[in-house]
Amino acid sequence: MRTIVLSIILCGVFLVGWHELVQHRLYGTRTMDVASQFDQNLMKSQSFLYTGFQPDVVIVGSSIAARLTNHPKDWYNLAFAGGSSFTGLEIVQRSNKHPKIVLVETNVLTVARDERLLDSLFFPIVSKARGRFPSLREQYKPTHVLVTELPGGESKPAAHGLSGDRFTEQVERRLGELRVPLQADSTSGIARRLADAVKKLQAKGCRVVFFEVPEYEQSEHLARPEAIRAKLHELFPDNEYAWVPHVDWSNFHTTDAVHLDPDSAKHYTHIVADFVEHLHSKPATTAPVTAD
Amino acid sequence: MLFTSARFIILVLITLVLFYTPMLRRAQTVLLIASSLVFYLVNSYEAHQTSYVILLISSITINAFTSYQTFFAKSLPKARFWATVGVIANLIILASFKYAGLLGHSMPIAWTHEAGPAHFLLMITLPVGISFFTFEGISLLVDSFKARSAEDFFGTPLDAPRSHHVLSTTLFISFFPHLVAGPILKAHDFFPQIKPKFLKDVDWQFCFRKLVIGYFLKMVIADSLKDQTFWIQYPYFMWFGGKELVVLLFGYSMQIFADFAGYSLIAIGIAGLFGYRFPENFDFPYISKSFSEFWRRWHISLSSWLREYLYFPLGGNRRGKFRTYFNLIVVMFLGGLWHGAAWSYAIWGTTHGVALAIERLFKDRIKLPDNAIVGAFKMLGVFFVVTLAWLLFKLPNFHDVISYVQAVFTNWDGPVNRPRVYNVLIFSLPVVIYHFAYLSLHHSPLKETNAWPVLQRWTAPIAYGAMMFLIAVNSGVTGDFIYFQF
Repeated sequence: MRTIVLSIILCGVFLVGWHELVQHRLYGTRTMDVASQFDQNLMKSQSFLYTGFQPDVVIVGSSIAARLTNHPKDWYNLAFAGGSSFTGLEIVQRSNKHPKIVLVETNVLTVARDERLLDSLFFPIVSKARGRFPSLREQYKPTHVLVTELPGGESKPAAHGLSGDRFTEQVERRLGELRVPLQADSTSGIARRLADAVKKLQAKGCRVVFFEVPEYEQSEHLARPEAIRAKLHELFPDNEYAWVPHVDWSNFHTTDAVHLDPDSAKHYTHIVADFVEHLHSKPATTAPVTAD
Repeated sequence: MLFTSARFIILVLITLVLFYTPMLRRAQTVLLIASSLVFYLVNSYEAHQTSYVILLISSITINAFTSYQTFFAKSLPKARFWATVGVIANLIILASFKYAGLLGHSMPIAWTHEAGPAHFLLMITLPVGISFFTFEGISLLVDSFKARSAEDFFGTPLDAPRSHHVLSTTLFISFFPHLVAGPILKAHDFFPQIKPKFLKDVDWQFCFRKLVIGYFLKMVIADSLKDQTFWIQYPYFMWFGGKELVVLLFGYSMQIFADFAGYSLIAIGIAGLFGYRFPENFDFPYISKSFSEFWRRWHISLSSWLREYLYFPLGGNRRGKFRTYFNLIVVMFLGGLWHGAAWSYAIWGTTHGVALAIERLFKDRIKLPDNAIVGAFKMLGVFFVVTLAWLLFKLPNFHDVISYVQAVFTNWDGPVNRPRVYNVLIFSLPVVIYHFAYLSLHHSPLKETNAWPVLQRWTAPIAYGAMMFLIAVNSGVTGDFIYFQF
């Protein structure tokens, strides 16, 4: 029993020590670049939930929208690599933040919301404890802090695009995926879930704006994106909902047939920001939605 | 309901309180069965296969009935008949539910239309824990057959009512700590333990040790490595540098150990809280100097089951050299298929079977000097092959395995993501230390001195305190246990 008691006491000592270290020495350390993709998503969400920052505009989406980083300072990008808009929508809805506008990416809606991430984020007691004690947050995991201290550990790996055969292979793969139309019930299911999420956000006083990020130009009019686009425009008509105007995809470049390269991402972010700026001057005219 | 979930911990706590309530002592077995069924029901519900609870209950019923008939049969032929019926029933259940998909995938594409046989087979999903509970059923039948002339039925008087055997069998097969991912229990080890339990007999130190190490291995190591080794999947790995691919594979080797050994330790610790002792499932497998040693240290409950109930009945090593090699390869081939209904698992098992056969072939012909350097090379060699073979677990499509190995060489000078490599190495380090600490201390003269207990007295709380601290601040987000899929 002595070992058990001593171990528990020492664990408490380590926790207090780590908390003090985080509070006084490590607070603000940037560890995002050293974390795994999933941990990065968690950090992004925890940072959204636990800081006092009240963004005017929140972007939700997948890794495609996650590249839109060059946005105005009062925006927050809550788009997740490996995820979809559904996760971000759920987080905004369950948070105590009230953004004026939520920008919803419509490129990837076939991925359901990430329950693992949401469970971790809103787990009772632990969620409150993380709010109170930053040392329990993803950002301050001892291993993340340690990696940033190692030679080359803090450097963000250079984003390199695919080239040659790999790019062609990836293009073929992506086009192959998008050529296969979704079944009607899948499209309706996506629309229904999106309508539910939008309704909840509207009830919270947020205005929802949809946007579709350009991808590889040949994929623009393939069966799957066309079907989803048509369904969404039917459910959220342009005269009632704000849509960032569709752009000519041939003016943009991707690194891997899906994600925009840094220059194109910057260019597209400007287009979205200009549209939002223009919207601020116009009142919302949205009506409640119901999916078929 | 994962071992790491709050719901599981609440279930354990409620069951523990009721279990040790003096008024309910007579109902201890029933209580554990009820909790186990709740556990299985929730797991099946989460896997969208609630109806499979009926399958579990059917399996228990078949095994209880046939094992009872086997033990109490008046003649040897009758006993053999009932044991055979029971074993065949278990194998049919396993084959129908686990291998239907494999059979469906192997059929011509033309048969996959909605009314086709392949479509029907592909619709059958894998019930949670089926590989474990069918093997335990077979163990019960074989042990019942072997124990026919004994004076008691695994410690139970022969005049005990039949319902007692039904309850014992139900607990043996369904006891929740081992139900979905082992360790695989043997009837002759477990049945004698079914008796009233008292709180004062619980070995708290033992349970604490197992639980802390188990949760640390699972939550801190395996769950963190999982998010790094995620990239070992097509086509992502094609974009990585060769050196990074080697590190990722090394990390996967550490992850699979931490995941499964962690699960087993938690199961052993929780069973210990209820007064039951499960067999150890891992014994520092990565220090093995031969493949036969590896299989004495890795998933011990499966390898000992295969040895006892398959390898020995096939003749073991008593029927000549070639028959021994054949037996080894067949047993490992079937052991591979036990892990999953995909040909990659069969290849994985066969690789180990061939390695065991080659090792046996050369064991008597080549005598290597028994020193530390040769030992280290042997250890590295076994680890290298074992780790390479894990690729077949991670990439069930054999073509992807070949592409991965090719990518290691063709991308050798490709870019390396240093933070990712650091993360893999940092999370692998505790597993390496765990093995090397054992290796260096096991035969150390220090253990014979008076300083050893003092050292243990002070280092143990520091180690356990540090592990608990890391569980609190450095856990990854829980993913399924890798062995759940088996």
